Formats: sequence, C-alpha cells, structure tokens
Amino acid sequence: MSLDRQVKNEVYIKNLFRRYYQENRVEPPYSMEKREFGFMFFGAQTMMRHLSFSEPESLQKFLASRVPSNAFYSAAYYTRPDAARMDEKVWEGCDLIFDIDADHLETPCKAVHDKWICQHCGQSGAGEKPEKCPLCGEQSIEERTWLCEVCLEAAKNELIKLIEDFLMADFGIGTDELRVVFSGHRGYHVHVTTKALLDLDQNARREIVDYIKGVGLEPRYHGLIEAREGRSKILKGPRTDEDGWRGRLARGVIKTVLLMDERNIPQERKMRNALRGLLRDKDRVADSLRAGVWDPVRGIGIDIWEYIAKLAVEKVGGRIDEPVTADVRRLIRLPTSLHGKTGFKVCPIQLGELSSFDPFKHALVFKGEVTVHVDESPKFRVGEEEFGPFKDEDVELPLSAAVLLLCKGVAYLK
Amino acid sequence: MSALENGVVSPSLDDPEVEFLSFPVARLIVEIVGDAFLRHRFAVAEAKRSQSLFKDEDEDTLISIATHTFGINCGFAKRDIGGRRYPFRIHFADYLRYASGFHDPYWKLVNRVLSRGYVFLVKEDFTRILASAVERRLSEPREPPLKVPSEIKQIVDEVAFRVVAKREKYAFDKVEGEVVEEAFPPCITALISALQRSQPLSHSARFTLTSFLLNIGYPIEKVVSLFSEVPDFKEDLTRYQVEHIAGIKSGTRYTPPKCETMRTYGLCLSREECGNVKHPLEYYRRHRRRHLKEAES
Repeated sequence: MSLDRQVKNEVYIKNLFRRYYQENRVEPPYSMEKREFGFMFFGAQTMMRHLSFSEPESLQKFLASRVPSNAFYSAAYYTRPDAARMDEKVWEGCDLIFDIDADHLETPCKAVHDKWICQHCGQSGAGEKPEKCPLCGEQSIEERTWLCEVCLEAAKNELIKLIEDFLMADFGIGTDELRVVFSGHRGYHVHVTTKALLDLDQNARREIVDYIKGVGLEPRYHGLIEAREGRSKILKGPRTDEDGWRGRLARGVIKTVLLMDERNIPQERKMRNALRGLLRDKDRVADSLRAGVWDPVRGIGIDIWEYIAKLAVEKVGGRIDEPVTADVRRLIRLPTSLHGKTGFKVCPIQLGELSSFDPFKHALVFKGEVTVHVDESPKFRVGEEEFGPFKDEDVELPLSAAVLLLCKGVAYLK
Repeated sequence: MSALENGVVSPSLDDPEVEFLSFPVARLIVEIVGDAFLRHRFAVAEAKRSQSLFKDEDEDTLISIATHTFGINCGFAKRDIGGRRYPFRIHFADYLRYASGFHDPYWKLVNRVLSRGYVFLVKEDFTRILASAVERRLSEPREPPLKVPSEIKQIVDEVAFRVVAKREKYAFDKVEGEVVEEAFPPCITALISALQRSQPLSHSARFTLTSFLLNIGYPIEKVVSLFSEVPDFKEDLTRYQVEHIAGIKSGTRYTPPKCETMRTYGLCLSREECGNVKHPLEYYRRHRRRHLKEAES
C-alpha cells in the first residue's frame, strides 16, 4: 500500500481510538501504581516503556491525549516501575499469566485465510509461511494472518479446558482469582492474581507450564506399570475417575485408541502388528480401560501403552504459550484498551459468559458506517452480518468491520 | 559462654546439651565468615542431617514443623491412590518453591497427583521437602553480630582460610582458555547456523546464544558481529543487549538456561547425543576437554 494511503488510514484510525479513550473509562490493573506501562504508537515500530501511573485519571489522560495504537502493562509488581533498568525497578512479584493463541493451534482454516508474501520477489501463497520463498529462495517473508471464527473458537475451547480442567480442578484456583480477557486479536489471556503465587520464580512457573502441556510426563508415575504377580506379568494403569493427570491420562488413552486408525500407526513391525490387534477390537478395549483393566488384548506390552500414552498426552494437554507464563517481567495487553491490529477491544469476559462470548460481537466498539476500498479480504463476520470475500472493490461497511480491514492493511479510505 | 565454647571445641554426638548448642554456634561462625560458598555447604549438610532426623518423627510432628517453622501450606491427605497411601498434601505453590530445583523427573509437578491445589505426598517425599526448606532457610544470609568473642574469632579465621582453599577446587563459572567450536552443544550450533542463514531468532534463542558465547570467552565485539547477519540488525541495540547479558553495567553476568529450560522453550535438539548433561556449558566443558586431549595425542 502506498505511503500516503497508509498515513491517511493511520490518522483516521487514530482519531477513532482517540474518541474511544475520551468517551470510555479504561479499567486500570490491580495495584496499578506498582506496574510498568508500555505503549506503541501509530506510525512507529518501537515501544515506549518504563512508564508508571499512580492513579486511573493520569492513565486515562495519557491514553486520550497520546492515543497509543497498543497499550500494555507489566504482569509484575515493582517498587519503582518507572526505573529505566530492570535491576533498579526492584521486582516484588508477578501475576500468573496464561496465553492461548490461535497461532499455536492447528486449525484447517489457516490454509485458507493466512497468507505469506515474499518481500524479495513478491511471490505469495496461502497457509503458514514457508521457511524460504519457493520461487527466489529468499527468507524475508511477511506473514499476513487473519482472525477467523474457527480459529477463535478453537482457542476458546482450549481456554475453557485450561480454566476448568487445569486451573480450577487441578490447581484449585477459585473463580474470584481468575480474570479472563480476549486479547483483541487471535487469542485469550488468563490473569491469576492469587497472593500465594505472586512470588513464584521462573522455574516454578515453567513447572506449571510443563504440567499443563504434559511436558516431561512419564506414564509410570501415573500408575502405568508392568507389575509381577507370581510368575506372570500384569499391566496396571490409572483409572478414568482419578485426580489430576492420572485420570486425564486414562481418559486420553481411551480417546486416542478410539480415534486411532491405520494412518497413525508407526512403521516398526512389532508395534504395527500389536496396534493393529488392538484397533480391531477398539470398543472392547475402551470398555476394558474404562473398567480399569489394562490388559484386554494378549501381546500388548507396556511399550505399546507408553506409545499410546505419549499420543494421548499431546491430545489432552493444554496448548498454552510457554514464554508468556514463564517470563516474570513481561508486558501484557491492558484490558479494555484497543488492539492496533484489529481495532477490537481487549475485552474482559465474565466466567459465566465464557461459552457465549463472541469476539466478533462483544469486542466491537465503533458505531456507524463507512465506505472503504478493499484490496483483498477473506469472508468474515462482524456482529450478525457476514461480509466478503472482497477483491479490489469499494464496499460500505459497519465502522468496526472497516476498521478491522484498515488495521489489517488490506483496505484504504476512499 | 563456656557451654558455647564447649559446643564448638568438642561436638560430642551423645551429649544432647552439646549437640543442641553446637548448631547455633556453627551457624554463627558461618555468618561471621560471611562466605556464600561456605553458607551453601553448611546449609546442604544440615538439610541432609535434618532429613534423617525427620524420618523418625510422626506425621503430626512433621506437619507441625512444616506449618509453624516454615509456613508451608500443608496438611493430612490420607488418600489412597493406585493402591498406595499418601498421608500428606502440600499446596502446589509451596511444593514448587521447594521442589522445583530437584532434577529427577520423579519430582516434576507433571508427574505428581495434583488436585484442588494440593500435591499428594508419601512420608519420604514430605521429609525431603522439609529438608529443602531447612536448606533454604540456612542459605539466607543473616546479619552477623557486631562483637565476636576472641575464641570464636580464631575459629572463624581458620574456617575462612579453609573455605578459600576448598572453593578454588570448585570454581567453575567461566570457561577460560581457547574457544573450541567443535565442542559446542548441538543446540548452540543450530542457533549459530540459523543466524548465518539470516533466520530471525526468538528472544530466548538470542539470549541463550549470547550468554553461552560470552561465558566461554567470546569478546562482546565478536558476539555483536555474529548478529549482524540478521535482516533487522541494529548495532546499537544489539550491543546494548549483549553488554547487558555480559553484566557490564549491572555486574550480573547471565548464564545460558539449563537443558530443562531449553526443552521447555523448544530450543533443545537431542537428548541422546548430549548424554547425561544438564547444562549447555557443561556439555561444552566436557567436549572441549575431550577435544583438547585428542588434539594433544
């Protein structure tokens, strides 16, 4: 897109953002005076960091006058949040943050709506970006990701799994200690503010990540073992109704067996034959596992179960972005601010409204209509209406839909 | 005062009074010497001793020690899991506080039964956690007294002298001498070749590579120039970051993450090839030694 069109777009969006910040109160984070704030601005690449605000009014004033394109605050609490150097800030603790991003989920629609463009020769394609351009071999490739309902729905399912199965059931986190936020783009954030967890260091947080993802899980510690009884060996495994990973592993193995078919059987012959035997009788095997009996088929040894358990862990483990949780100094998007890539609100969600939350409806803040020229856009929905796909045409759109396209850089103002 | 002196001079094992008093005196000496290495050795030794003492205590006493002495959130679980009885439960935050440093996969949280915020433990594990709490407590520096009796001062000097001798044996932070690139661990080699192919690296990858190279004796210049291959190279910023990791301004020099962390970040390539190594620098040290030996012969 030409530079003046881009500038015109930015000025237009900035004015809309300004009006939003003038008319809407942003919710300051808990203990705001101990947080570091950071902002990005229209037309600039770098982030302004190390700012602090002692009361909501000064933050609001900053947002309405400087109009950042993106607003962040530290999950950490500092004695001197505005100190320029990390060691001078004096770290006091950090909320426990989880990030679920559609970027890390395999959804079939990515091949349809995500695009890449080689910066060198202009070649483009659909789906995830290749390592290097298939045409010219250069590696500078730009990615244009789209946010779509299927991706966001997949992210929301992961979110619900994270909250219900892991944070509440296993970690015992109460509903009043959890804050769920739509990121404004491709994912969701969970903020846990439990006092007893604030001082956990990176190692401890990494252990929490590993727990949720199932990294380093060894089935034998969850009861999947070969035990000797007299002369014969018998297999033992966890029961589906047990706590924590034990029950999750048992349920995951059943699910894996039921969903397994010829295609995901490994090449190795012994394993191949054993698995084929198991799959021939899937339903009976699943029933047997449900009853807690782990040797329903002759010749299925511990190695086969360990193989299936590994697949099961991948299936039922949580899909969270590790560094966000492990990093105790990271900046996170400020809830109720606006996301510069979409114009959507970084939208807090009540737990009870999680399943009915619709980002394409509840995160919209702009009202009115505007006509824009769309270069290219996949089909998308905003509110109750569907739009597109568009290619090189003038379209009158609801303001929120137009802002989304302008922010994504696929449209410009007439 | 004389009991204190006796406690130091002859720490007899079968006299409870002496035994009782020798600990605070030993602690006092450690604090006056004020050496982190000594404090750590002392803490580890005392933790081991306490664990063997905890073995003979009943469940009530152990929970009382954990709760009152260390403020650990724990209690009775009386739970049967997989045919085994778990008498104790401990809140996962306290579990992580004390056990996240244990290396054995057995201790990973993901290999534990965790329910409603609590980890279930057998007695042996619970006492290990308590011992870790003892170690942690003794590792925290305390203000030494201003006045030190001359008898103790003598011992302090003796201990301080021995600490220096012992510590030289253990000094291992920086690897001195010529750099042997053939001895780089696979994770580091992969990062370097990614850079040379002008592939952008994640923050954690850049941190790992930089801290590794600085710790094996690469000068800052050389590290900065290595990064000049990436498309969005900004020399000022890179130099600032490299200097920060080198601890030029803050005095804290960073070391690369341990293998376990590398795995979490997806930077670890092969566990088999590395053998029993727990840290990229450890891999380098071993292979460098081997390489230099081979080169000699």
